This record gives sequence, structure tokens and C-alpha cells, in this order.
Amino acid sequence: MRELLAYLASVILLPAVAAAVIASPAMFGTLRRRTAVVDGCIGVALAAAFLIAFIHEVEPNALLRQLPVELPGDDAPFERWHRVALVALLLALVSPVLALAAAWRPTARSAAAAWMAVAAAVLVATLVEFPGATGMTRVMTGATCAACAFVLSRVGGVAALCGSMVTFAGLAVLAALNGFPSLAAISAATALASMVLAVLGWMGGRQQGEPRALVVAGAASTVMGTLAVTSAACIGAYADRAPAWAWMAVALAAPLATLLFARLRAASIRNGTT
Amino acid sequence: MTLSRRLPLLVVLCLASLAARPWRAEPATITLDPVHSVALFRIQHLEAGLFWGRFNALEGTVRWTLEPKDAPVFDITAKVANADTGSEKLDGNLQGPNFFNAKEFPTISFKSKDATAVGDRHWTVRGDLTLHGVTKPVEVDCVATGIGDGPAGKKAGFECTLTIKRSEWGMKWGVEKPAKALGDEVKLVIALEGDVASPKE
Repeated sequence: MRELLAYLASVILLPAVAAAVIASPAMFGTLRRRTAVVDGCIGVALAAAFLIAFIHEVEPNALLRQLPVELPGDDAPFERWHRVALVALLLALVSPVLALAAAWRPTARSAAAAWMAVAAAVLVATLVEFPGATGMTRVMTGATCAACAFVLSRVGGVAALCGSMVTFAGLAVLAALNGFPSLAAISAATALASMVLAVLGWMGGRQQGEPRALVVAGAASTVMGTLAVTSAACIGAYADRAPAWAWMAVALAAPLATLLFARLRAASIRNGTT
Repeated sequence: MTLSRRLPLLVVLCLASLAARPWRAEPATITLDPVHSVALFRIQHLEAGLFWGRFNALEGTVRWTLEPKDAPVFDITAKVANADTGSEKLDGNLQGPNFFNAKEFPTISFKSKDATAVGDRHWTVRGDLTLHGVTKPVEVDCVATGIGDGPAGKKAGFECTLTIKRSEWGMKWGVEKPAKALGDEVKLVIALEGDVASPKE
């Protein structure tokens, strides 16, 4: 029992705590008004949570094997599913740049988010090749990445984080059911990190009396969408039970539902006030 | 003594030396019968029970002279898709990326390199075991269990045992994380039977 608790603490709890530590400064106080800081911190925090969970669940060398570096004494095999960690690492590194780019011209934030979604799609389609992948499935994965990231950029920050939480929680269950406990644990950690960030965002908003001020258009939405779709594609590649498009639909379902809910809520508020 | 007088003596000596050399039979090729060739594996679960599973339908060949002192040469392959634990869910888990990763490494193979006799029809066979994309040398205890006559011809059987640490082949899930979920040591018992083809065939 003690071993199981230690495992859950290191693989699921620690990444969520790390995400909270990274994002907290941007959730409270004056930094919350700087959209680039909020967007970048949430993006880095989520990518870091995914990466920390991967390193604790698998091993650091599994990530290093994806890079063009020599690992003396390492004779473990190169496994294609470990590429999800490389995607998370790249997202963590580029998140601050994406956040700054999105905040550069606030009037064109929507267009910037769309361009970032397309860039993430190209990155995933080029970099990620799971077993059984064809040109068509890679294009489909990239396109779903772009759609997922863009949809998340159209909803409020807390709502997007809730959408991310639901998506990763669903992926954790599906990974566990399909004989993939490692990706189930990593997805569970990312779901918990999303939930913690959503709670922090909500608390920060209440503290300052501006519950809808959290902006995740750009870096954070790109990180959430890309990681969700890459994880879904990864589970789908190793499971025989459903076609690739069904896994893409799983990744896209919660963000679309969140967007629909947000639009309906906004419409009902508008109608109520007019 | 002239050469013409020495020649018959040299011929006799050559023939005598050839006769004195031990006669070595040509090895026959034994093609494994997948129905009667399986690999059983045993692993400890949660530090409690010893769980047994099997890989059905082994394929490959054994080259052997059928002589008790001559060591056989093994070239055996198991398909990870043939893992059979008696539970469809467990079979799926075994074939998944946390264990054998069948999509990336669909086969397990053993190729013997040399052997040392340790008894009558009993050898320590050394060779390379390729598992989970990693090839490492192993020592296998092999016994020729019998040579019999079947309806389609002669058959030969072997039983081989070895114990490995799966983490050495990069299969670490359950050893340290989550700790002690599954044992690191895996015992393998491999039962082989095949049809003997004579060297001329």
C-alpha cells in the first residue's frame, strides 16, 4: 500500500503541485492582468506537468532517447510512444514565445491563436509517427490538433482548463481500459493539473472580482489541444478496439462541448439583460 | 628406399588416419510443429502468487544430428500476439506498450551460438535472446526429451529452461513503478517438438 501511495504521489500528485507552483504567480495579484504572463504560465505549467508525470512514470532516458544524444550504457529500446514526451518538452519551451506573440497585438489574438494551432498541427503531423500511422492518419491527427487548440482558444480560461481536465480524465480511463497504464497515469496527472489550475484561476478571479479575466488564447490553448490530441492518437495507435477517427473525436469532444456551453451561456446572459 | 616403394606405405597410413577420425553425422533440420511447441512463463504478482502464462505456436528450426553427444542449434521465434494468459484483458495488457509492445516489437526470438554438454542429451546452450527490441546473451538449460516416430515421419522433442530479469530487456513496468506490482524475474520453460528432415531432404 505504501508503495502504491508513493507511486501516485510521484506520478500524479507531484506534477499537479509543480503546475500550481509554476502558474500561481500569474493567477493572483497584478501579474494576472498581463495576458502574456497568464497564457505563458498556464502553457508551461501544463506541459511541465505532463513531462514530469512521464519522467516519473517511465524514466528520464526515455525522453533523452528521442533526442539526438548519445546515452552511454543505455541499451533500452527506442519506443515510438515516448515521442509524446518530446512533444510536451517542445511545447513547454515554446509556450512563453507563443504567449508573447499572442499578446503582441491584442486585437489580432484570435488570428494569432489560429496560426499557433496550425503550427502545432504541422509539428505533430511531422514529428509524431505512432505504429500503423499512414499519411492520412497523420494529417488527421494534425488537423484535429489545430481544431482542438483553436476551439480551446475561443472559451474563457477557467472553462478551457475544465475542458482540458475532462478530456485528460477521459483519456486516462480509456488508456487504462486499453492496457496502457503508463499513459493512463500521465493523463490522470495532466487532468489533475488542469483541475488545480482551473481552481487557482477561479480563486484568483474571485479575489480580484474579475471572474472572466483569465486568458488562455495562444500558448495555453495550443498546449492543451496538442497534448490531448497527441495522447489520444497514442492510445489509439496501440489499441485495436476503435478506428483512429474515434480517438480524434474523443480528444475533441470536451473542448467542443465547453465551447457550446460557453456560447449558450453567453447568449442566455445577453438575452436576460436585453 | 625409393618413392615408388614408399607410396603404398603412405597410402596405407593416410587411409588409417582417415579411419581413425571420428565419424560425424550431418545435422538434420527439425522444423518445429507449432501445435506442440509452446513457451511457458512464470512471474510473481504483487509479491504473492506465481502467475503462469504461455506463448503458443512457436516457430523455427533446430539443427541436430540426433546423436546424444552433439549439441542442437536452435533458431526459435514466438509471436507476441500469441500470448495466452487465459484472460483476454491480461493478454491485451501484455501485448501493450507497458510490456511487450507488440505493435513495435512483434516477435521474441532465440538463436543459439554454442553449447556445452552437461549430460546425456543435456546441454547448456548459449545464444542471443531478442525481446522487446533488445538482444542480450543468455544461457539456456536444454534437454532432448525424446526421438519418436509419428505418422508423417520421425519427431524430436526438447525442453529448455531459463530465468531472465525482464528489466534488462527494458521491460520495467511494475518493477519499481509501481513498486513490486510484478516481479522482475521471469522463468521460461520452453517445450519444443518438430519433424525431423534427413540431411538429404
